[in-house]
Amino acid sequence: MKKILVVDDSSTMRKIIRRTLRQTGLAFDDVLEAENGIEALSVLAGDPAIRVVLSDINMPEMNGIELVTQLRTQHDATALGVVMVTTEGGEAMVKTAMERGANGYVTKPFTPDAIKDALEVHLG
Amino acid sequence: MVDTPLSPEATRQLAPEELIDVLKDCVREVFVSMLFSFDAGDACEPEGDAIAPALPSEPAGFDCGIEVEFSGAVSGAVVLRAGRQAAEEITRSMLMMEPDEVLEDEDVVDALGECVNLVAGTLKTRALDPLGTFQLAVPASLNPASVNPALGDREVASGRRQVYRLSQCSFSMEIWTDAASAEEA
Repeated sequence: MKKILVVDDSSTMRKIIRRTLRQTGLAFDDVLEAENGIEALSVLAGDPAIRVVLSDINMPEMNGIELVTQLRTQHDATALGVVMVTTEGGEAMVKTAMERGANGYVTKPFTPDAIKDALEVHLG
Repeated sequence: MVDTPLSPEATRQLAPEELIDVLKDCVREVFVSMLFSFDAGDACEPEGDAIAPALPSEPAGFDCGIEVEFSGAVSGAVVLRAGRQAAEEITRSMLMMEPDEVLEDEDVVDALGECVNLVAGTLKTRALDPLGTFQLAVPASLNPASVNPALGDREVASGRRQVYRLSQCSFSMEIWTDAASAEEA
């Protein structure tokens, strides 16, 4: 089983990402959703089939940078992929995310190809 | 997909006329990338090349308004206004909905908010915020009867509107800056 976890406080953006994932042609079994980092940690704890997390950065409760930092204390980067999907395109934020353990970084607006390129290695 | 931002020096010198040019590029990028069922050419070409130097009145028939305020070296708001038909067309395209799928009002508000958020976020990265010091507010509904957005207790200095035509309807994207920003520029 290969599952993807989408973390974004916008229900619209979660729908867009979910439908974009279907357009990529990537092979996966299910897409799960969480509204923030804390909820994401809870979902991840209960489902070891999640291979990759697509996470926004600016979210209430726990943001995406805090989430990836927390995840890297529990999951190796090869076992669980974390790809940031965010409007934050500044170099400083990209650098911070990658230093904290993100595997990839996609800025919104994105294309299906950008999502596919970022996920392919984790779902192969 | 990380764009090269303008320098901080260029950012501070962007006049309202220049800001709307960057806004047009941002709208195009968002629409080409995210509004999958639109013909990119139709959806992204501004209607004519006229840019109002100010906004004297509300365009007729635009009864939905969403704003995202930004604050930093320049402060203001990015605004989308649309009639119901355009709002639904944008929403269905963003969410890749089938023709027979039911569209709820909540979907429309959320999708338009996300659309403005994406445009404002792109504007922030490309033109306003090379140093990462700008803040974007969450999308908020704008009273469609008001000509300009309410920038808190700040005085509005200028606004620029660009109208876009969809298949049978139009929407507008606007950028507003406050008086303090104008004085500093």
